[in-house]
Amino acid sequence: MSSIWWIVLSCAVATYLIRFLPLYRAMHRAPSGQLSVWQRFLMALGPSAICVLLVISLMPFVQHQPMIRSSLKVLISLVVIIVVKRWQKGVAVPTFCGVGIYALLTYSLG
Amino acid sequence: MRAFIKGVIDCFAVMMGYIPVGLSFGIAAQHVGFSPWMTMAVSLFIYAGASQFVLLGIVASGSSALNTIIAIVLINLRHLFYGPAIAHFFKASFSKFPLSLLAFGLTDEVFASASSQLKKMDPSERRPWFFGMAVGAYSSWLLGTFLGVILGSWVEEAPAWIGETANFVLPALFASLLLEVAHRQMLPILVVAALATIIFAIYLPSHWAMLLGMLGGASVVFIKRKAS
Repeated sequence: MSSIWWIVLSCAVATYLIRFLPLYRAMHRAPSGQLSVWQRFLMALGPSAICVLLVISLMPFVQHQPMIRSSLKVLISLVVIIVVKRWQKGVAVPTFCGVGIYALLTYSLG
Repeated sequence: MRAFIKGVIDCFAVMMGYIPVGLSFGIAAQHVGFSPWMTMAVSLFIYAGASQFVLLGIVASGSSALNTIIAIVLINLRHLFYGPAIAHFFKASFSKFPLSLLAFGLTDEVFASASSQLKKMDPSERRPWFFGMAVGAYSSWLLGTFLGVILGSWVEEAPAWIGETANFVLPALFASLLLEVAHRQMLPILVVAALATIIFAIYLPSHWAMLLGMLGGASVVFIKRKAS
């Protein structure tokens, strides 16, 4: 087997273990009655990660040239998502409305 | 079975985001000189978006195997916290779907969706729902890579607005997920996470900015505890 295959397989095993071992360990830890500060930290990680993913995924749009037009398209689409989310439960409809508006703006404004 | 199908349906937005990114990976891998089999194997076995693109760059530069593996591990370090953050949802859940299987599908987007949706579910539905979500995301990633391999040159000639719109699917999903989980008490966590990410992203690669921003935001609970 060529070295590239070994690299791919080693990276695959490493990535899997990074996901599996902490989950396994957390599942087999004895439950405590009261929420510890560590547990509250872990519970806060979810929203924190979503916020971080949003910020990182928006960065290329803000750096995109022409910056004002690109940022404006993103801003309008995000406002649409916020407005639709007030009326609709779940994430699918607001997401697709936001993407639809973004497509329309990109198609018409470039 | 119903919870599994619901998981696949709820994964639709993630799938719409994964297909174009997987497709870009398929095209990029061909450009670097990966064979179609190798390209598919990378998506099949590693299944981690950002690190797959980095892998292409490192392999193309002729770096050593050890350097490549270390780089991939560092990029994926943030995943260390995903399992413990959602483990409590699975404790009271039906164990037909083993953790070893669920862990494979624990990507950024699946974690983000799970951490906003699992708490609203009946404990017996959590594992099948998560498995449905993971299967949906994984299949769309493989489908995207496959399309990139077979349609590479045709896709590159598609109108630019289609590609640009496809890039906006994941940010739109994250915005919707954030609105789903956010409430007033969480505001300090979100503000610190966002600001820390922006500041770190100026000086560091984005995977470090993500890890530090995520930990910085969640660390607000320690400060709150001291204050109270």
